Amino acid sequence: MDDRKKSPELKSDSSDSADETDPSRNNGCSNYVMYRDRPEWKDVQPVAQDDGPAQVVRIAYSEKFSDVFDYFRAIIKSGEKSERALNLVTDAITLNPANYTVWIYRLEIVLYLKIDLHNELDYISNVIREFTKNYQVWQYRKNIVEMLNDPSGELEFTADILDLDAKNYHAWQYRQWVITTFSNLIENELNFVDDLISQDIRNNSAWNQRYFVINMSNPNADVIDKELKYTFDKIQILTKNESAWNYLRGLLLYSENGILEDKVSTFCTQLYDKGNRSIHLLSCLIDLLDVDVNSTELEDVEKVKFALKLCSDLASVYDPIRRSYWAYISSNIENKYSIKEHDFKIVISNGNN
Amino acid sequence: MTKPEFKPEQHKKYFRRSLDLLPGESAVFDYSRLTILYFALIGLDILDGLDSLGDSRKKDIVEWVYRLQLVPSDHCPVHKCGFMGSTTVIHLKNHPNRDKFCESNVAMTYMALCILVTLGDDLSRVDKSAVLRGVASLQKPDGSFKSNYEHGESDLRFVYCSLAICNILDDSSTINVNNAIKFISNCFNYDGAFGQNPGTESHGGSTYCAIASLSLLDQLNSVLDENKSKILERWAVNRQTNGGFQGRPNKDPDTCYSFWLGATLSIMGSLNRINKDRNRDFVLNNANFITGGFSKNMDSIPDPMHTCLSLCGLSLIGEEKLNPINPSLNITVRAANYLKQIQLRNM
Ligand SMILES: [Zn+2]
Repeated sequence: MDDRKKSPELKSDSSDSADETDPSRNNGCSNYVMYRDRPEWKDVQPVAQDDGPAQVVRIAYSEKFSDVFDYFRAIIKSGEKSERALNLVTDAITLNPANYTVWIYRLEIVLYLKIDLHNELDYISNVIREFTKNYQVWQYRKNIVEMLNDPSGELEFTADILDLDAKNYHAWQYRQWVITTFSNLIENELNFVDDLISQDIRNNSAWNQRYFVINMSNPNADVIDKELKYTFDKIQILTKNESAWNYLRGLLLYSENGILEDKVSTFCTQLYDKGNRSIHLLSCLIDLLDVDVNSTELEDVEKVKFALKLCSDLASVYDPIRRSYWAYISSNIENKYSIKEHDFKIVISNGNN
Repeated sequence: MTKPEFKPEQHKKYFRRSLDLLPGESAVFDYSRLTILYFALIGLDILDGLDSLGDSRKKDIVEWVYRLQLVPSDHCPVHKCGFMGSTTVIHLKNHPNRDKFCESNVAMTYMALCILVTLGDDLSRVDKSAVLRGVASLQKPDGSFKSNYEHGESDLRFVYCSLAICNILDDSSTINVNNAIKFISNCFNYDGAFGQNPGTESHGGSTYCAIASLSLLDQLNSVLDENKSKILERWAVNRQTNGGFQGRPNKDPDTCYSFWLGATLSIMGSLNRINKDRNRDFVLNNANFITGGFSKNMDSIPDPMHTCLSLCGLSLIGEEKLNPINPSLNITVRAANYLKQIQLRNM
């Protein structure tokens, strides 16, 4: 929820003098001229922001920001749709891409001037590269791609952006939109996800995308079996990786008659017997034992006691930050199976941790 | 490690400064200054610092907010009505044929109503019918809501804002509640939490939006059966890492998630399952003792959103000297009680 907070403001240039003196920023703006000083804008009367009689949360706008937006207010009022208006809007977007109106007005101008939407797609690609975590830029891209009805470059483009930050929520959400809106784009998605998981096995976004792809394909038992093996492999590489464990639990949603549970149970037990104590492993074992118990036979009572031992181990040794949580899970199990006497009580001092 | 100390006065000063003048780097909030106002005022209310503003300042703020309201007219169709986030294009209000560029935004309407209630306004100048019809016009066939009418994006954030507006105005007859619930339920993921849209990754912020929405509708149990509640609870408590909360698995903790996940767990009645002391330490270690305010992590500077949400998070876990909050509406309990009074008066 905080994505819109940081990156745009750090990048928007609020200092005009910096533009003039810093050669590294010299991309044509070293000779920047205020709109009010441009002869070709002489015919336009700028419109100042009208904040009313009492001002609150005022912003100390830079001179450049006020200048650009005073002229922007003027042309949107007069309704001018021209080449120079488009340039002005481009400047306004650079200063504040989080302004909804500039985007809506830009699209109006683009359509009115019948500008080639492929050029507009190039433009928005560059803006997104600069403001990767702004909401409006992605929404605008969606509009353009919808109008072009051509998603051919979209997977490659989002892959580029994910190359900068493989967990960029905006990019993933957009990529899913492209895949669900246009057909035939899902074919290579599993390979794409595979690469990302190989690069960073903890990339939860990539694991989520894997589930998204598998889920969309209406998987049969063979596919799920393959996924199970894939996930076992990945867990063995890094047993404390929550993303892989969550994915494993997600696969269990496809289970019929507990067949998958048996395989997962065997896998977990072997891992445990080898001495592994990943908190996610123990947590998974507790759930599996809980499901497995269906009688009050001695064997089952032992299983329940083992689950209680795992809760106690988690609370005191392996996952102490969640001591209260494990005490709660433990007491749920006690109550469910009416087991009052056991050696694995978790004591919580003063109702806290 | 020594226990960090909580110093409320510094944060009151931080908010009072934000209410007055923001530095030029904040220009990216030019179009949504109302959000800064919201975070500053809710934050001040939690700090019990609203009185320090004085009555005339409060009145000024109320007037400034009401100026952002768009009401039906020849130049403003009802589906554009509600509140704008700033005065950036307020000059187009009542200008012929410009409603496309001068329209309300559902997040801004939600925050405007929260601000007004927090400042003790009785909402009598809100055109309720227009606001409610405006919200209804943003609902899509899948049950979700757009942020605004023209090319607005849609996701759980705007579902939450829309439902909160209906809750505050005590009328959900203009929207399709069942479809909204269906949409929320479609955002539930295999790992036990909610993404912004169906299929997208589970996220602390969208999970809050889902749970708070359902709680406002009193429909928590219709989407979350016992098993789903159980895995959601596990997902949420697992977000606590290094003391603070992260928004997604394998990401770094950030102070705002002490609210997004704290409030989620609070609504579910499960907040006692986290380690409150370590959560408190994490948040307080991100307080800035020079400027006041809280940052999202050690590498950042304070901002109004993280300051407000840090205080919300601290209030949820019972920090002394802080007023309690209503986790579903994200205003103080005091303001929520006042809202109840207004609603009863209008019945
Ligand atoms: Zn944050």
